Amino acid sequence: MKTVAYLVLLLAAGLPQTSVQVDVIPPADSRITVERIAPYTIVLTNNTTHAITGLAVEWVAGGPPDSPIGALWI
Amino acid sequence: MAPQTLLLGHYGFEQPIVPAKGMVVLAPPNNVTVIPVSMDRGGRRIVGPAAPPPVWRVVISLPTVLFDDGTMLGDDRYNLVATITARTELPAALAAAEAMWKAKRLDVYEFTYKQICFCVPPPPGKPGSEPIVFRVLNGLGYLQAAWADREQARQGLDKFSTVEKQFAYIRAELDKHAFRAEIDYDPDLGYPKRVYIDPLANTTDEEYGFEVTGFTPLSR
Repeated sequence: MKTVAYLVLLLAAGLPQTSVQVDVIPPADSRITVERIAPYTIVLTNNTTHAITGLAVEWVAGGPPDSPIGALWI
Repeated sequence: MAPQTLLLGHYGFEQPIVPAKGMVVLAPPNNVTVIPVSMDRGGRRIVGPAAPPPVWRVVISLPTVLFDDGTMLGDDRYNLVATITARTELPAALAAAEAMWKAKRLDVYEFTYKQICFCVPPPPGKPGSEPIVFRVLNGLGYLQAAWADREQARQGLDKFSTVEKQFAYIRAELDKHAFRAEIDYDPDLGYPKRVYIDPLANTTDEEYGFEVTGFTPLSR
């Protein structure tokens, strides 16, 4: 049973998703922090004294690692 | 590959998305496709044009952050402000213009209508090139000069023939929630001066609307 579990873990580790590089680019204001908690899920923390009333979040996929992805990201 | 985008905001920015000193969890609206080149989800090799585009990297960014004091971080490439305010500010402006117009009690007037569209106008001097002038008497609009004899044009233009009908047209357009709507009203009388509707983002030449010039109140 244990062997099967290890096998599943090994297979999961070898899934393509794990090889995808995920970069999070926070806004210019350092009082807004962004932390990744799952492959494509983030937690945004607002440390400013103002509420955020509008927000756009973008997930851009493509390209080899360490190369710009189009002109869409900051 | 098109980005997956999440736009968040209550109409009119009246409620916070993230309160001050607060936090929020954000996930992509749909699954991010991260199938690498030449492999499918089952690990099978894909050969030929059916292979999905290579994905080695995902970048998560926040292009726009709006605060309750009206300041903004980043750019507004997704027209977040227009998208969220259009449903509150444009109807409010329409209601205010209608109230102003009603208070003026103008029922005899004249104006020139001009269509906004991506279309070729008739050459000068040819039928259809004449200015489209409406004269309104007791709430009914009448086409003037050569246009008065064109039955098909009369029917097609009827919805613009009075200011009240133009207000109804604008209301119907706002209900469609176009990608962008720009509407200018006369600051003194309230009648629509310019209506510009862009129904779809990322599509050009489909914009439409109309302009009103030469508005003149007439005596009975």
